[in-house]
Amino acid sequence: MKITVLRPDQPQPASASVELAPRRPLPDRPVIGVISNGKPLAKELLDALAAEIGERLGRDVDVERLAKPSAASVIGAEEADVMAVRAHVVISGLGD
Amino acid sequence: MADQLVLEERDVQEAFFDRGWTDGLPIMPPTPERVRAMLDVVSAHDPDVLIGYLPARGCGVTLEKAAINAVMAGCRPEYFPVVVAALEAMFDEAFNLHTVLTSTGGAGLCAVVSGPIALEIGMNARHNVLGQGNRANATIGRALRLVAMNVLDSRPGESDASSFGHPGKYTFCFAEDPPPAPWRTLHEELGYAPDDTTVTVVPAEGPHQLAQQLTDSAADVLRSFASSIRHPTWFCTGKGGHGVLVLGPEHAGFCIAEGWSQSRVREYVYEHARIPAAELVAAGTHLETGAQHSMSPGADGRLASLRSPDDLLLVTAGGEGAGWSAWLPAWAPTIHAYRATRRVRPAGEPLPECGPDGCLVPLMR
Repeated sequence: MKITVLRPDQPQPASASVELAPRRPLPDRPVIGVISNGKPLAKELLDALAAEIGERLGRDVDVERLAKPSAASVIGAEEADVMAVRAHVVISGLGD
Repeated sequence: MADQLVLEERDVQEAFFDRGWTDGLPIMPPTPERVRAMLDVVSAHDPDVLIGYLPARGCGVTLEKAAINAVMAGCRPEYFPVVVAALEAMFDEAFNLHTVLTSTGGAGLCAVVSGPIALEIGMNARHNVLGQGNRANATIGRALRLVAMNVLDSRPGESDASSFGHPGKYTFCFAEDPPPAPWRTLHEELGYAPDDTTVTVVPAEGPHQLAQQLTDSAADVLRSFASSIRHPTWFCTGKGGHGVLVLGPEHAGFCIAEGWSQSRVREYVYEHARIPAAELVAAGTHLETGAQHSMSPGADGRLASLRSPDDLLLVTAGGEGAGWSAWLPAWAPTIHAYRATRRVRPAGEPLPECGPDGCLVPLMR
């Protein structure tokens, strides 16, 4: 016997493909933005990453830092806008 | 309106398992008639009304999707107002639902029901209150998890990153056993009217049973419970956490007999749950510095395991016996997420007006 049932999930429309933003040339002394999620040693890890990027680029870099109040919160839109203007590269994802 | 599938009845269970629509247990097939019966109880003329929306996940929960998952969980229609109120509470900004459903800490969606509707729908508040055997307790809690999985896409190993999880992630719902006078019910303590029924949701670790069987001293009982709350391996110890202390009838009775108010119990447990920083260090726990949790001891060298006395939700429940209570620790400190409470609308009471976009919830705090 056939029965009719209702679908319990929320079907998501297929994601449209996303094009990467165009690569722009970096200045002689780029600004690396890092956003700490507030976890222990996050800042130290991100600073080390920024230094590594500088080494790979073969030039001095400046580091612009932001820290979230907790891993469960997001940075404010205004802070994000400022970071987008001031930094040439931003590392924004950090897990545990 | 939800999409429909036409299936051979004998194939329904496997079809739902194959699509990842269950929690690992068989479900009640959500036929249109069963779903309609749920919606009728909450007078839902428009099944597409949003209970809440999570921008971080790009999805929201409609009344109809909640009803479908409640049917699957095995809910009777009269349970549905409690399911809806619990979901509304989960969408409270303080609850921080996206994080609760994502964290590696693996939080259960603990729902505590306080008020006359709990009794009317046959919820269990006494023996085995946190265990199996009561349909309302089991299926209301299960419905919340199925909604999280199916509608909010919280799937283990994907956006549910729980390292371990716990059995309360299948279902975690119970009723308060109203305490003897002069203590007040949980919903009255939270500011609701005596005739109201509320659901309080708490993102919680698994329950920890507390034994105290050789004393009738309230202070001794509560001090020993506080020592469990400040256990060095609880993630919140020393960081300002919260949780639910479920006092069994003997232990609540000792407090009432000695004239302790509920407020005094909370303050006493809070104070004795503060832990010397040196004790944490001696236990091998490193103190977090320069990061999200402030672990700077007070002048007396202690750190707060509960942020404040009011962050201890005091509930009376459980059956008579040798003397048992339970501690339900929140999965993370209050800076990450907090409990939330909503009144259960009795059957037939109109839904609130949240506007065309439903009760929108910001991304996170």
